Parts: sequence; C-alpha cells; structure tokens
Amino acid sequence: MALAPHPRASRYKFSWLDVILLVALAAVGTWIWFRSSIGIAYDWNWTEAFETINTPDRDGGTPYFYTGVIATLRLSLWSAMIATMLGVLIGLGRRSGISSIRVVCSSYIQMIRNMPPLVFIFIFYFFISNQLIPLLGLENLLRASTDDQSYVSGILFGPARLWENLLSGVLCISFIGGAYIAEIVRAGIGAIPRGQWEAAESLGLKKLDRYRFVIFPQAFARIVPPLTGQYISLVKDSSIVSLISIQELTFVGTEIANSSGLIFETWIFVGLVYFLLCLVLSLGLRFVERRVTMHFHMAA
Amino acid sequence: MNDTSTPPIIEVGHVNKWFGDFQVLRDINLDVRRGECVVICGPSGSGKSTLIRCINRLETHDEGTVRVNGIELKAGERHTKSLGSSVGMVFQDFNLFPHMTVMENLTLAPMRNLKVSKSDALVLGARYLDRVHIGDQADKYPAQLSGGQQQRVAIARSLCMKPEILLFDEPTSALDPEMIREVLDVMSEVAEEGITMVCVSHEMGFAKKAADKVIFMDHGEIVERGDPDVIFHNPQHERTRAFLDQILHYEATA
Repeated sequence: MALAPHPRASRYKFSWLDVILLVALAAVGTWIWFRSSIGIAYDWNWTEAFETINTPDRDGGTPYFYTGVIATLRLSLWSAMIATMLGVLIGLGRRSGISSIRVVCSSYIQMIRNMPPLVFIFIFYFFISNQLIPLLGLENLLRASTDDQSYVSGILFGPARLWENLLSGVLCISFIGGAYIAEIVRAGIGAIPRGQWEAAESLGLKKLDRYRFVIFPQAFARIVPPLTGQYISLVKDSSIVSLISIQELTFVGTEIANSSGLIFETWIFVGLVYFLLCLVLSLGLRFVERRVTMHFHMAA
Repeated sequence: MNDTSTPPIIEVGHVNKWFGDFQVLRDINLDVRRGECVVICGPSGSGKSTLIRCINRLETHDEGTVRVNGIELKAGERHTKSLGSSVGMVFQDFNLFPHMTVMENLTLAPMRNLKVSKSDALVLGARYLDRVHIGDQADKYPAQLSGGQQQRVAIARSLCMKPEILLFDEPTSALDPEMIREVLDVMSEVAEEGITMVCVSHEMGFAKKAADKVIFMDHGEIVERGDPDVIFHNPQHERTRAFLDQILHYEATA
C-alpha cells in the first residue's frame, strides 16, 4: 500500500454540523453536571486519592498501586509473546495437510471463542494451579529459586514469591489471546493470492523458503492491523485475571478502592493507566504498520 | 529443430484428468522436443492451462503418463522436488513478489536453490534484466512498473533459474494492448536462444514467428496440431476454423 500523505490541512476543518454537535454535547454535559450537583452526594477527594496511590508499602518499597501497574505490564508482555507464538502455530495448524492437526486446532479455537473468557479462566485456573503446576513439579522449581533471585529475573518476572501467580495469569491470558491471534494469522496467510504460492513453487523454492521469503512477509503486512486490536484487547482482558487473585492493576485497584473508600477516584486512576498503556501500544503499532506496508501494493 | 533422433524432453501419453465429474483433459498425447517452441491455443475452459500445469506439477493428472526431462511424473503425485527448477513458469498475472524489489525477485531463487553467492546472483540478475531490456529498473518495486515491464521481469526471474523448459500461461492476456508487443518480442528472443517453450497463447503473430508447432485444444482434447501456417490459414477441423473465425473476426473487419 503506497501511503499518500494525509491532506492534514483539510482533516480538522469545521463545518456547521460540527458546531451543532459541539453545542449539543455541551448542553448535555451541562445538564448532567447540574443534575448531579443536586442529586449525588459524593465527596471528591483527589488529594487523598493521589496520596493513597503514591504511598510506599510498609517496608518503604514501591507503592502498591504501582506494583499493580508493573504486574499488568509484565502480564501483558509475556502473554502477548506466548499468545503470538501459540497463535502462529495454531493458525498454521489450521492450514496443515494432516487432518487431525487441523481438527485439534480448530476445536481449540472454537472452544475459546464460544466460551466467556471468565468462565474459561475459572475452569482453567483451577486446572493449572491445582493440577498442572504440581504435576509438572513446577511448584518446587518456582519455590526453590526464591532465595537466590537475580536482578534480571526480578525485572522480567517480578518477585519470586509471585511467580506461580504470574505464570497462571500469563497462561490464562495467552491461551485466550492465542485462539484469536490464530484466526488472524490464518486469515492473513489465506489472503495471499494463490499465484504467489505457485510462483514460489515454480521457482523451485522449498516449502520453508516459500513461507519465509514469500508468504510470511506479505501475510505480516496484513496481520499487523488486526493484531494491533488484539494486543489492545489482551491488555484490557488481563484485568479479568484479577478474579483469580493475580495481583495486577485491577486487583490492586479493587483493594485500594475498598480499603480507602475512594471508589471513583481510584477507578478513574486505574482506567487512566489502562487507557495510556493501550494508547501507547496502538501508536507504536501504527508506526510498525506504516513501516511494513510502506513499499508495496499488496497483490489483490 | 524437429530432430527425431533424440527423445522428447516432454512426453505426455494418454493423459486424462477430472475436476470432480468434469473431465478437463481427454486422452492427451503430446511430445515436445528439446529446443522446440509449442503454442497451445483454444477457447477458454478447453484445458490448455491445466495441461501445462500438469507439466510443472502445479496440477496432477489422473491417468496416463507424463515424462519431463527424463523424470516420470506419476499420476496423482505432486513431487515438485524431483523437477527442481528444470521447469520455469510465467503466469498470466505475473505473480511477482510485491514486497521485494525487481532485483530481489530475480535473485531469491538462485541464492536459495542454486546456492549462488549474493554477488554472483546480482550479476546474473543484471544480465537477465538487460536481456529483457529493463536493466535500469532493478531497484524498483513491482507496483512501480507497467504490466508489460512486470511480465518481462517475470520472464527474467524464470530465466535466472536456467530452466530446461519454460512454460507460459497466457502471458499477455492481462496486459494492456500497447504492452503486448514488448512481451512477445522478449518471448521470441528467448525462443530463438533455443530454450524449450510451451506457451498457452492466442497471439497468432507470435505463433507464426516463433512456434515450431501449434496445438488447438477444445473441450479437453487436442483437436488439431501442426505447422503454424497450416493451423492458422488452412485448418483441417471445423472446430479450429470456428475458433479462428471468432478471434480473427475483429482483426479482419477492423
């Protein structure tokens, strides 16, 4: 796609329709503010809320609120990576020549897509934490490394006492995200015209080379835009693992809101952090998208 | 050219193929000798594209024998590996790789398959680009070229693999009229250099100039074959005559 420069000058031109809309919005806003100033008895206390989220913990360490932000970042980052790998594998699996692989992959996708994520997490969490982790001996491994934790692993995975917690959360989110990414990958590869495969084959390129040099680079350009949306969903969906006591932003928000009583303020802060995370993510990926699609018209 | 002492490089014997219930190829027999240029024409749906796609294994045949460059291609089997890069193909829609420059399109397969070094591949690519008269477009992307130029790049890309046989599947059908000639010129030059060519094409001018043999197909069978002059000016078969009348009609009245 050759991106023509945006006609920026005309992008923000005001018409009479915009003026009417703005006036209408202002009117509605004023009315709501007027009604609520009479009706709602809520004492906004931003100063205290601000102090609460910035209060260091008992040992003088990172404030609780920020540990939640960092946990959400870690959770999103690892989940996005695992979900992407899983998605690529399952997406390719759906195109496999072996029908049993296709069936397994599409059953997995159907299972995830047709079940509320919350229900899946409840089922899956009890399976992982009660069965899988002890079964694989991960429990001991995770606990054994508590004492001699390196600085790097602290940055990457957080405090060792929460590793089991983090792992469960990451697996839950990755398994859900992976199913959606698999569909995006499958569609992206499926959209490459047959002629591209045939040309690659006629040149005698081996199967792996066909994927690596011809199909993937083109599919990537088609996958990035929907993938952006999926990553944003993933960051937001990470909030539901608060229900299985993963101590991320939403979990922390719930606790702070309940203990301080500053319900609205706390949740507005939490919302703001999610908003900023997702905004930065989407702007970053938009940049990637431009780079990827800069040179070429995709074969229709 | 019609040297009967050497075995044919392409031997197609009693080939049948079905798409579901529809028989797309009926008892096809065709020998192509080394260095020969064969043009296949016929109405759409007559099976001519399917036939050449069976030769480079983009399709498989269901019955009969296909032998290419001494390799027996079994019915129902793809085995592209054994053919390697001995058979090249030029497509109707060019099928250049849009995310690569012209030069990258040319050098990819030689570097990956013939294990040519990058510097040698660049020399090779430049040589074939010159041969199709667009040496100055090496760093452009396909979308920046005209259809005729893209098709010439596609021909150069195939030639870079030094194929024994080059197949053309309606190479000028997707082109604007003013670009057909430049592609046909290149094809004629390639034919003169002695590479074995099988072309699905309705370009009679090209067939007369370059073809050693013309084949007319209809409803999945070879109706008539022979010297271009005979097929075009004195067809023996009613169906050939009817087809030629249709494609010639406008040319005659224009």
